[in-house]
Amino acid sequence: MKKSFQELIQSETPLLVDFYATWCGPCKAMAPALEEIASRWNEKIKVIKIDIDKNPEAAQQWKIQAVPTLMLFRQGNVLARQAGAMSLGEMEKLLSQHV
Amino acid sequence: MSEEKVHCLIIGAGPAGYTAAIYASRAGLKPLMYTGKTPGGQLTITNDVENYPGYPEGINGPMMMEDFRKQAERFGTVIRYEAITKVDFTGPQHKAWDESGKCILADSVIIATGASAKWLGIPSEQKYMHSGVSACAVCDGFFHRGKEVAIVGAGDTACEEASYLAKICKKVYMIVRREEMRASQIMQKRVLNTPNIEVLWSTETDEIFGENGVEGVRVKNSITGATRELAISGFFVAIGHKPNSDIFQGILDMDENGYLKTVPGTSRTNVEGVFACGDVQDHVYRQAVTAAGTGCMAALDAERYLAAREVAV
Repeated sequence: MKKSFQELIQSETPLLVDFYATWCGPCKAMAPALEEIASRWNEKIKVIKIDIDKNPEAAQQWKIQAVPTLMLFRQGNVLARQAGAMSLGEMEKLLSQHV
Repeated sequence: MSEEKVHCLIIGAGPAGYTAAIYASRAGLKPLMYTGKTPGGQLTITNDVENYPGYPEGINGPMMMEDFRKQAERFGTVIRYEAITKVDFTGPQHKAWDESGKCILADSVIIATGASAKWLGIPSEQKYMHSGVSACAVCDGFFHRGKEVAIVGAGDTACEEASYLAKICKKVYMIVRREEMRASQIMQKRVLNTPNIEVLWSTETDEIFGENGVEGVRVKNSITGATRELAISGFFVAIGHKPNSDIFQGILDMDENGYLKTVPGTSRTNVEGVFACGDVQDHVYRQAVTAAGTGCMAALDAERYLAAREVAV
């Protein structure tokens, strides 16, 4: 898991990562919008969710201090980072600025 | 941009919005709901709801909102996880635009946009937002396990969050602006009887500081003028709420704090066919159960309004 996450963020296709936790209400609230994003941007980006309890190294590496935190990676670079729940429109805006 | 016609548009998805959706969909109004960015509203950041009737063992806030959503969907409510950003209530048909620019033409509108946490408004609070500063202890307390934190506020929410933080953190400083709290007696007692919560009375927040995220906060005693620095890793704000009524400014009647005005005993606003329910119009009770109650009123008022206008549904 750890290795594949490191590989995924290196990819040419932008990767949107949702750092979340099972006990986080806003994360749950945002999940349907994120699913919608994943299907709308299906061709252009890849979307994954990282459970910070199961992947503490990843959360530590990227200094996650709030959940949800969305991060957008391409070829190992951080294109964008946003903590706190976002609406579908805000996610759209974020993606269209960077992808 | 495209247009879409509906009989009943519901804006917001907390207990008020979902209850309105349950009643409106059962009445055959085929409601369309826009949730905004936090479907579930304030309950998504409430760990334990122990005062909602029907849950004798208490329930977790997000789970309760899941139940509400499923019940609304069961009767055919269409739910969109997007926000409404603009409205126009001047025409015979009410208009609302979503984030993608789509225009909804609605015979009736139910506003259930709720309220959000207020912030202190000091620059350092903004600087460390989500990197140590938070308005949700249940969400972000986790990152401060075994550490020292501070919380500012003196209401029931502040007490509840302080108690929650005390369970996972080494020490909790509770910053209270006055010499007393406005929280209920039972909540105050809980806080005052928790050994690792230190209440700082008559104290104001000067500045939050730190090189790499929050490392401390400087507070000031408003009586003596003495300042004190607390070494903390997390700063939580629980100083009350403000109604989410910005998009209705200048369009609907509201009080000086932005709460929408309704005709007493009803959910009617000053515009025909526009109804308000839940915390966006209630600064007195602000409970899940009262929000649900007014959500029901709004759906029934909308149904009667449409029937009187003989809108075929």
